[in-house]
Amino acid sequence: MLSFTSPLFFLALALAAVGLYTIPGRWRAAYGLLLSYGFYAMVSLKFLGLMVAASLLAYAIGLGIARASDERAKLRLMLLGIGGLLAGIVAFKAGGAWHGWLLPLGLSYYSFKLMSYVIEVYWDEDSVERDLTLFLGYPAFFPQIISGPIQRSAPYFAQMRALAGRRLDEAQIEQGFGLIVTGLMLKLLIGDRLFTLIAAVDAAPGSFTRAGLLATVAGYTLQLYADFAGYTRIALGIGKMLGIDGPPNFNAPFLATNIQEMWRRWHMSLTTWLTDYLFIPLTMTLRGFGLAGLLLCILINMVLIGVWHGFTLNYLIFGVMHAVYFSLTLLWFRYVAPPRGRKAPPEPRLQRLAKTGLGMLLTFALMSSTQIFFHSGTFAQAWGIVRQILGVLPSGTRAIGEIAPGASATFAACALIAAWAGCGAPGASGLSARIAPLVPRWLQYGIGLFLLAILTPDSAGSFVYGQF
Amino acid sequence: MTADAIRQQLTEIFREVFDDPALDISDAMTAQDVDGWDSLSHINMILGVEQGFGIKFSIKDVRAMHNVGDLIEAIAKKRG
Repeated sequence: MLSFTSPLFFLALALAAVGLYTIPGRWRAAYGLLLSYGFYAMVSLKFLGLMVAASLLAYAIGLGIARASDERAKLRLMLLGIGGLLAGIVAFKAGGAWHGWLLPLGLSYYSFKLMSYVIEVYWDEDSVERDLTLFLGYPAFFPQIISGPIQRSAPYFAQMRALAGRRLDEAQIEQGFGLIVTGLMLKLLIGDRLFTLIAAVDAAPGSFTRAGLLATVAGYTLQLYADFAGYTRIALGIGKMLGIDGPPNFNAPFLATNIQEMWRRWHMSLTTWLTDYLFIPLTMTLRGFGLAGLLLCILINMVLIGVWHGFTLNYLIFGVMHAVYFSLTLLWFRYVAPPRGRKAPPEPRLQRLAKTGLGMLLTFALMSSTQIFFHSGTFAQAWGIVRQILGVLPSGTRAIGEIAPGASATFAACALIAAWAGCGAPGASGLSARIAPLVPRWLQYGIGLFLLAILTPDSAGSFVYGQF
Repeated sequence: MTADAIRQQLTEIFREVFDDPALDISDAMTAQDVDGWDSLSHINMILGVEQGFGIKFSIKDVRAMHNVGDLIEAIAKKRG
């Protein structure tokens, strides 16, 4: 299988990119589609037909909505399209949870793309795409197929059209390469190291001290960030090299000072999707019910974010916990907290800094508490960890440092780097620019590749979000 | 109802919803320009406008609004 972490994949990518910019512009959409279908077929030939069928359904529904003359016919078509696409996701997620079915590669991602397209066309018929080749490339676009980001149709079609008429953009190639190298470093050097240590604790959480277990729980959040943000950088970098800028998934999430803000900075392509197509329509529908209606909308939205990952009790609990945290934050800001932003009275600098720092720590702790359920394979495991942390269950005596020689130093270093990266990697781009006269960009990338070559652990490779 | 009259009444609604007595609105204004205008307060604003002007928006109407100017236009259209 071609993986985003295999050298062979990047060799193939370089050849594919050269091909893209060499052929005449009018063939580029078809060439891109061929690459995407080829990539998909190599990973999973069996499910390629399913993706093509889902794409053709959305394509036909789009044309139908654009042609329909009355509102009720448009609504019926839209519901038919959404129902069909949703049925596919539900069937496979349920089959996966209860019968151990294999989830078709990228099903959640390409179905969400197609659903957003159908709704956009329903809202505004001008969003319809009649060019079949161009259309089919959108859900299948291989850099985004494994785990997103979930791009909207309009920016994809616009960029793909523009690609037909333009030449190779050197800046785009360089930026894409930079994203890939830094994404690989975040994923392989940091995330996978944390993963190995966390897996050792997972094997027997009860044998570790409470402090070691707490550090591991913080590690869940940091490892997931390094893994998924690393993946996203690689996916965005590959897309960039092929002329398509994708949407961001992370905006320095650990800088968030409350859980609401965290959700505006974490897995953004999913949360903005849900805000636009679920949360806003839902709050519009329930707007007569006041605060109770709003809290219900938050609960539905968060539970769906949870079970989107899979139909298991743990993901459901993850969603409900976030709904509770989110609602409490909303009530706090609405009824208890003093005004914020421009309306706030000036505050001494030290006090403001302390508040920001405390907010960040609390938000991280809340996020990590939900990660206990997100990360654990079974409810029993998650519940055992919660009870051990609360002191209901006795803790063991092992420390993280006893997992392997140097384990505690490795854990601390990787956790700090992941936390720094999740705060937006302050200072990194400034430093890179300052040393550029001495160490040019290509050499900086070369150093990154060298570090990847010598420091990548042997076990590295698979992505957490690849399973959704 | 003239656009100016709508604008004046809308300003009052915005000041109330976003809890800022000094808030002034303009046609090009978007959610980015107002403190606390997120998907949560958006629905309060819509509700305030509906009650203030005695109109009802559909989800489609709301989706088509990209700035305050679009909102004023939509209000004018609903008020006939």
